[in-house]
Amino acid sequence: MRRLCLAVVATLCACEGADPDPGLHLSLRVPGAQVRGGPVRAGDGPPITQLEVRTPTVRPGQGDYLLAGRVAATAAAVHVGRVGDDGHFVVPTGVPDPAVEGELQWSLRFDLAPTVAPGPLQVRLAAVDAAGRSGPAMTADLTVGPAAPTGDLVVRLSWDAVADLDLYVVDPAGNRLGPDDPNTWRAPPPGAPPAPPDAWRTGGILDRDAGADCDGAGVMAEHAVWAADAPAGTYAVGLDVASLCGQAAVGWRVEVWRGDTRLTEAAGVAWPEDARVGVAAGAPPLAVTTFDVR
Amino acid sequence: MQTDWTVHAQDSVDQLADGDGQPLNRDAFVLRRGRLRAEGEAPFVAYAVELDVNTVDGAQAGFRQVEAALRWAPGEDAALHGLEARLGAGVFATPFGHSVYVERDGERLLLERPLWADALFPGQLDVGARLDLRWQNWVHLTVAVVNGQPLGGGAFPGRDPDAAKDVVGRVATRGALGPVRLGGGVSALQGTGFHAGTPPSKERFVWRDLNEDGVVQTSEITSTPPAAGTPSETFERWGVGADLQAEVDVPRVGPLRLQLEGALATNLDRGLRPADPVTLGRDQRALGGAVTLTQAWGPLTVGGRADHYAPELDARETRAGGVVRRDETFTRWSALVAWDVGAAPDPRGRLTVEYTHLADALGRDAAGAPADLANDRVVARLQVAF
Repeated sequence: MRRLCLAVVATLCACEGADPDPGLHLSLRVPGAQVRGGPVRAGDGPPITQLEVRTPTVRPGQGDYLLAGRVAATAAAVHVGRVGDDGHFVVPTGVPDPAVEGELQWSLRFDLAPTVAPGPLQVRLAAVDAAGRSGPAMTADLTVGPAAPTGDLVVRLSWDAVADLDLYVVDPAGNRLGPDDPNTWRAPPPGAPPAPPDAWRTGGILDRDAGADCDGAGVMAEHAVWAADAPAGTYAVGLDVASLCGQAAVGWRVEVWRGDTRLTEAAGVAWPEDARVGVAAGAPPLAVTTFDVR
Repeated sequence: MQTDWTVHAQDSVDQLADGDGQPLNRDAFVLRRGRLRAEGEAPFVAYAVELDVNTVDGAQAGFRQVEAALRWAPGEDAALHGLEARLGAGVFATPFGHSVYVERDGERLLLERPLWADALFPGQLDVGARLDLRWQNWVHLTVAVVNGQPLGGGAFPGRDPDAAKDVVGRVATRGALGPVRLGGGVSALQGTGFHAGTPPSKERFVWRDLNEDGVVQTSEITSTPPAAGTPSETFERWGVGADLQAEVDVPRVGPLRLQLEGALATNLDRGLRPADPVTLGRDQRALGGAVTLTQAWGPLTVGGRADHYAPELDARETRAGGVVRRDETFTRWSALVAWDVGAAPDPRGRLTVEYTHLADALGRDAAGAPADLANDRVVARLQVAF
């Protein structure tokens, strides 16, 4: 009796089904889509008739990268995966394309793992019909850009969870760079000769206010960039915890790069109490580090 | 007190969910229920209070049944002797079906209630008032007026966003047919659901730096025009159900028990696929049922349950350019072995091992069509009652 029960349980446990793995180990992920093992297969099934790539560059850790296009009317799904990954995703096709008779629309948004190294990125796609037959494979040749922008002086603040942290840098002239003032360049005073049209580019520029809506969109990093000839002197770096977006704690890291040389770095953890007294409440940013540029 | 150990779960991975950051690991120990109950009655009043601690969604504590009642039971010399009437108010199990209203969690042999019961009445409990009439222990009528927002689910658990109330009731009877002991009832619910309106929104102009080059490009700009708020609306919902319990003593073995239960409902799902016909544009019809068969053999009990629930009979989806019917059904097959120690009213315990195979349409096959997701489980439970 016992052996019979164990045999029945073992048999039932072996039931096959769609893979429940969300595919978090893959470097290219389509959130919410079904994962299948192995690479995207090619065959003589329905083709992808159009692949639309809006921008050829993607950054490590970037989310919501859009791929879209059309497929033959017999296609039921599009398989997509990164060349080299041991898995791919199944995305059902959409409605008939109103502009091209006999073809269906498809679209997907993928996330790229932060660990992907800069360089070429091949995304392989194939349409699949209702019988599971794959069509010819199509490859989107993309480029993975550097994780951070480049410049003469780059201060990078990154953190490890969805949260709203803000980078502040005070330059040697005392100008404070932050989300409320994203450029240290100052216009000439009244009566002075006008500045060249692109003079604003000479200041330190904050590239984004990451995590501002707590919606998890984009990379959790901000950069202060002096594209060329950063002013000599002492800089002060600070951060403000605007919101932890419900997180219990968030780890952060600050790195300062002069060209290819890392001048300094600092790391720490932001706690909920850090968000209670912040810049919005009139307090100064949390002092992180200082460094000199010669 | 019930503690579960999920010995094996096919859908368990050591990751966190993308959406809410919750663990996706299912192979874990869970304090499923830790209940402390006090109840009593006097000639004209009665009360029941039940508290619960568990670790299902992290360590949490709360109340379950909290009810006070006026009670009237004529004495032996009265004309209506045999009648017992109660008028209670507070938090109590919704009087719909045997598995929702009658069967307590500690009495049920299967680890959890049927899928339809948890979907239509998540958490069992609601706030309201009920009238309970029993006649000589063989007819039992319950009629309740409740908020219609179960404490275990819905958008406003324990609160009521609309003035209309749900009226729900069950009439049950019991008796014997030769050696077979029988019980059964029919239930019905008529109520009003709530569709939340939206606040007005301001104009938004959004630049999403898709290629992260720091340069604004026209393809990266979207604008959302301002929108007027929309008012909240209510909608009708109803459900009917029936249940039957049969028990017969098999000579030299023990009691053989059979339970049949089913429900048909419209716009009543508040747990699995919460119904909102305003958004859906049509009614959401649901159908569920379960068959449970157990055989006791001394302290040992073996059994199983076939449990089916279709939360949306008219589900549709776009596939391969056309609108097709979407399979939205859940069919759960459960098999268990339980070993009982002790018997009521003494302290007693039970060790249960249950295997569950859930056939659903939560995955996708290679062609993108809904397919069964691999989510079978083996769970062991240790239960002790004092």
